[in-house]
Amino acid sequence: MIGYLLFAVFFGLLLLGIHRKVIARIQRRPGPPVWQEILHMFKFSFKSTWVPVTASQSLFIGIVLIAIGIWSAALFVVVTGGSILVIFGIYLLHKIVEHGFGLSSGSPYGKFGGVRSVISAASEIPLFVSVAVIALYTQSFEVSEIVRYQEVHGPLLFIVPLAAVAMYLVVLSKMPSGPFSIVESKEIVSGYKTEHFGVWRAGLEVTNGLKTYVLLFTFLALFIGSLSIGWVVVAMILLVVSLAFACALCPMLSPFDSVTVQTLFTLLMVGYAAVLWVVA
Amino acid sequence: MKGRKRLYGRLALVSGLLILAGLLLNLGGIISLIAYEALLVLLFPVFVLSLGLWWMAREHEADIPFLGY
Repeated sequence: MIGYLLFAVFFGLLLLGIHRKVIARIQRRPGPPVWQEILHMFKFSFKSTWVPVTASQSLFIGIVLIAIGIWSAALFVVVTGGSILVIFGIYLLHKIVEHGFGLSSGSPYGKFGGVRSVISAASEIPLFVSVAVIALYTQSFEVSEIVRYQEVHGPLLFIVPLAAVAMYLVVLSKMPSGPFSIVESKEIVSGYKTEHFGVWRAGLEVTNGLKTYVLLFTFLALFIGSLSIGWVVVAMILLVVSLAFACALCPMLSPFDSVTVQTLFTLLMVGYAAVLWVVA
Repeated sequence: MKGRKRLYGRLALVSGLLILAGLLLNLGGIISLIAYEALLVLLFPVFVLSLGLWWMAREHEADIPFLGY
């Protein structure tokens, strides 16, 4: 499992590098090499590190440990076929972690980022509808049962495509440089991670790698089903390239518009789930 | 601060050894997979941060954060 954990960190960071590269090429820039995010992690781990005088020391350090811990737990839950409710609980917990990052530093930019992470919790609402629709068809919240259902009936991507779109939007909202990435927009410097530098930022990069891997793996497990590791790698790269197109071609929305679009989509999904429930 | 760096180094060593011990115990069938995963969830973050701090914890006092132009 430690081998798989390290693979998820490095491959997740590589996927983020591919994401950056594709966005750059679409915008006719050369862009950084695809392994740039891995280099970032090492670079930050070799920077001089301390805790700012205005920070809450225990929260400032503890939140980095929690961030790595919860995404490690999410990885183990999804690869062992555990409950999607636990995984989605961790998605929501991540918002609280982002808030903790922002508030712990004592920097106004960090605090703005923390507040925005709470606002952007609206991006998680389509998840509930997605989960409800999956449970309606498969009669289970266990990833292993959902994968088994797809072996018999075919991928849920073709059975409930709008639920897959809802989940895709959730993944998109967590990718950097996307239309819903309001927690990291440039007018608030680096948002909630403004003051987490050096080793703390290296820890955050480890979290980002794990988070990206878990998000994409969950999407594949829930809507495609069982895949060999080779196909998982290929499918993840294809997913990341499609996400990069969405990020490169859609401007970042203002916080108000971001929440409005996600709420409207949630309402649409609730209607879709209601129709499916009546039909089923 | 030198003492603190030594502490981080020991923390990295202990957490790394415990992760290795967990792996061996799991492979030997002495602890279950879920116990090994719980061990990793607790110790992997400690190992990552303490290893980095052992290398790069600054040896003088902290700065005031960036508060704007």
